[in-house]
Amino acid sequence: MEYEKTAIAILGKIGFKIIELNKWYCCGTLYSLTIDDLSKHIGAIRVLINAQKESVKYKTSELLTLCPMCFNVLKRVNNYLTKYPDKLETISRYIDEEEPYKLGIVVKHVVETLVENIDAIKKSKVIEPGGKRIAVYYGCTIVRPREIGIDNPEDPVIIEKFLNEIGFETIDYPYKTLCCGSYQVLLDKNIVYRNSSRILNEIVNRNVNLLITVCPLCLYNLRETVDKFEKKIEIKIIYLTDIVAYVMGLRNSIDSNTLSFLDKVFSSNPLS
Amino acid sequence: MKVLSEYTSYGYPPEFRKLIKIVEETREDRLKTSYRRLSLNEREELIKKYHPDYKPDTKRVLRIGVNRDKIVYNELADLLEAWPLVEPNSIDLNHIDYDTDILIIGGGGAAAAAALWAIYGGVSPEDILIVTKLRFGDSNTVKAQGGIQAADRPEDSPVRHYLDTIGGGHFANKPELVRALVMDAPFIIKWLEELGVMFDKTGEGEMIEYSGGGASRRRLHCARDYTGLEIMRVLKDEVLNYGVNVLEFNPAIELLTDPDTGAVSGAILLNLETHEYYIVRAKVTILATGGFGRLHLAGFPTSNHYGATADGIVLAYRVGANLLHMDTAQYHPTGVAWPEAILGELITEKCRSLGAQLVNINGELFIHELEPRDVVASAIIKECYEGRGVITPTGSCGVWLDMPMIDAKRGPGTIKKALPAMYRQFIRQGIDITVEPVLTYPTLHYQNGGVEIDEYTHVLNPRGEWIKGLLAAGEVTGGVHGRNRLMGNSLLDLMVFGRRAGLTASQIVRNMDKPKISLNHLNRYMDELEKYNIPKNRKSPLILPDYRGEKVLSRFLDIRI
Amino acid sequence: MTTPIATSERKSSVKTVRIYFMNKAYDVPIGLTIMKALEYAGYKLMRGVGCRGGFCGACAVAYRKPGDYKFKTGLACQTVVENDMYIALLPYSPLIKPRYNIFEMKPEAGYVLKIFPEVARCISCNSCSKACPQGLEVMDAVQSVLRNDILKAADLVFDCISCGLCSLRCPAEIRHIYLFQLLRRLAGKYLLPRAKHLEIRVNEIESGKYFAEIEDLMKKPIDELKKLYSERDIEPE
Repeated sequence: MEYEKTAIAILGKIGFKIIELNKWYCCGTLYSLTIDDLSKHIGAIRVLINAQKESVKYKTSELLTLCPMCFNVLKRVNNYLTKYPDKLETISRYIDEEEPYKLGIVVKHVVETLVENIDAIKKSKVIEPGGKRIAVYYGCTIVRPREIGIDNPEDPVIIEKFLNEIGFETIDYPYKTLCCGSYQVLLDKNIVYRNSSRILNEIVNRNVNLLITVCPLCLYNLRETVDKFEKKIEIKIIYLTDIVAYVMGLRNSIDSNTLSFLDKVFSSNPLS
Repeated sequence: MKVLSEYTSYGYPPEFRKLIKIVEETREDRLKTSYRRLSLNEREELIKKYHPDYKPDTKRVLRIGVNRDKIVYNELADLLEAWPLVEPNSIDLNHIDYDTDILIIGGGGAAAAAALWAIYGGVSPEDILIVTKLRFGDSNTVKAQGGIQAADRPEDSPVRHYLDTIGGGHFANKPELVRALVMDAPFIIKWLEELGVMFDKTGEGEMIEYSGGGASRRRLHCARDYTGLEIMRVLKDEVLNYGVNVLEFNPAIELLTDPDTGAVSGAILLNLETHEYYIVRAKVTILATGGFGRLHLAGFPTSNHYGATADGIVLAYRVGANLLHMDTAQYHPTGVAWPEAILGELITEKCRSLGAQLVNINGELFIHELEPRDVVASAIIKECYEGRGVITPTGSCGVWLDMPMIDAKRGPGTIKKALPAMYRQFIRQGIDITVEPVLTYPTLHYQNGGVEIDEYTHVLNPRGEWIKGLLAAGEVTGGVHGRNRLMGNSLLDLMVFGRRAGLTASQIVRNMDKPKISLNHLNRYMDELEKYNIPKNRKSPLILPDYRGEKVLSRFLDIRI
Repeated sequence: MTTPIATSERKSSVKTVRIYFMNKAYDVPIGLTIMKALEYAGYKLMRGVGCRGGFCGACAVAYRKPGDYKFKTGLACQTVVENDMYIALLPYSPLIKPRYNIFEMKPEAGYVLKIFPEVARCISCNSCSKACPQGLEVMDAVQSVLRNDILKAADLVFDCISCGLCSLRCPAEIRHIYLFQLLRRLAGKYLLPRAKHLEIRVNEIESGKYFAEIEDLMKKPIDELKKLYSERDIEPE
């Protein structure tokens, strides 16, 4: 909920109207790795079809996603069907009497939208970050594979650049695209602890106590790992939209825990 | 809603188009008017002349049993003056198949309510057995569409509800039963709400309540037009959650009685699939067997479910139960008259509550839509009899029910929201009730009378004494509704008396020894049958009606394979 | 004692169509439902009949027509016969009802998935909605559960008659009828606001209000009752 509330508040303030799809289906979480797995992608395809239906009503063909996994699946499915029209034909025949997907929906991630509207966001700032040091964690699905990533998968900088423009200082560290452990949290938590603690270690060692991410699963894994760390570490993990909403003064959209932490950070001296 | 376009649409034949036009042309004027209400005397006159209860040759004097010399419908007399299905000497009563505390005969709303309240009253679910001739839930309850009455608004009171009910029943109701009905009503609604029944409510939680025929206040609670289905499935779910024993496709074909005390002590069941009989011994037996629509009294089609064959009446009568008002039946004013495929099915009174008007072939009003049912039914029959009805290609007659008026009065989309079941029922036959009127004629709907009970559901004999071991609830009982039931009082009847039956049963079984079983009560009965030379091939209970085509039956070979 | 109201009897010069029931051909009059047509042909039905009005889901049928591979469904009591229908009666879907205590549950997906974990297997194929004789958006209801919108799901499947056709077709083997029953009860019990006026009236009755008034009415002679009845004011609809 935190992610959604802050994202909608930010975009609302700079002039966007965000409409939730009246019907949506589970995207499938992961893009199927087999070459032809149309039936696994039906959920995602139905999302695109629904967006298509609503696009007529609301006169936009941009489908905004907050979760990188949804972004990943939807964009890859969209690209696949665009690239292989015969596959699009196959799936249209499969779903039969229902309205087929006719291509044309553009799948976007909220990071892209924020970056594209940096000027408007800067104008709406009410708090100056004053060079506060933060770290950014990208995770996997927002940057890999290369064809759909929002930036270079080896060394993405898009979110850091965005935050720099707003007035934060971002630190560089080696593990910003190391997998946090992802859905292994369901099966073998140790994998998550192992990976996530590597990421957190690097950040803590650089004396930063605020970590930005854009993925709810990464957030969950990282926060869980903080609790399980060998020693007590002071690091708070929040969404990109939380910090942006904060500097834009949209206090009501921010979860109360996060809000009180950010208040503390911004009232004390910088460089912490 | 997806329109079911794969179904064949016959719709109205072309010759109906100009008749429908008359309805459409008179609609504008009729929107603001309604026919005046009739006085009590005018009502009586109309009913005496046109109501099927007064049709000659539909009834006769009963010769056998405790109500001999009373007048009942022919089809009922045929069942009451009939031999048992079983030959008593060929039944082995030494081996008991099911030994239970409470036996509930029937699978509808009253049965489910009785089971639940017996459990709340302290009976263990394993000590309750529900037996039913079809599936648990197959009943008239699920076909009840319009609603359940309860006086729970500040502008209303149970006292008004009492007066409405007793007036609608022609003052023949038993006062203590009506009191139980109306005073228990709000509690019943609350109980159903707590179980999770999705009543139609406003956003703030206020119940949306409609007016019904003969009711002086709006007090019909509904769940779209699937009210009965919604209540039944919630109760069924809860009964099964408790793990109550249920035997489906096992109707009771005879009651058992204790040879020493005469008390009812169980029943003989017939497994419809294997034709085995089972002996059930029970400390208390609750009859919740429902109505008699499938007997097609007076030759009418019916709105009832497949198993409504008055089995409970037969069973109870044979142990000496008093039957009330079996010379009357409720003919619901609006049954389907066209198309044939769904002839006789119910068109809910809720349509009239929402504003649809009854209109004859000339587009004229002829009765106030919300008079009690027997009055409206008689009025429709009168219109048809006097030549102002519409004749269908298959020879039925009907008047129009101007459905599109509902959306006109209450806003577009009302019909689809409030009457989804009816919308579906007609669109499947090619008729769109949002733009077309429907043809309607009375259909046999409800058993007003039945087995006499007191307010604790004890079944009484003609002397007012309790037939020990036997309780009854629901449509099978008489005295609650007098000679004519109001809309929404039947679902209420099931719940109120189903609950009372369950609670009464739970108290009875507490310190009771297991009874003995016999078929002795049949002896006297069979002597009388013999005395009146009742043909041996006339047997009852009927269990299921027979609709096999005559052509097939004329070549039927009764061979065991 | 036969009571043939099967109106096929009335008109003997009626046109017929040929239907195939469990692969056996029968010529039946037009305008009959599948159920009435079978009875005309001599079947005395026990399984696959219930309310005969489209409410109970007992008479689910599936059929195909020559030249069309499509699998069609309907209710025998509502579907009118067409020429060359190849019909099968499906009176029962093998689904075992899970037992639960609704008073110990919350209206949340977690509680539902505990009882029906297979719901997460939904691949959005939509076979369920295509099989539904009531035209409900079955798949959307299942997906609504996955995103914790119990009220929406209950609303979508309110008109469900529990025929079981959806569950028969579902590749994920979801037990729709029991799933939906649970959803509706959770919605009705926890997610719809309680009626306050109802609570007030129940308390009033319990505390003895109206008791004396009704006792009084019960004792009145019939003529007085008739008078009171005729003079009572009727609320406009």
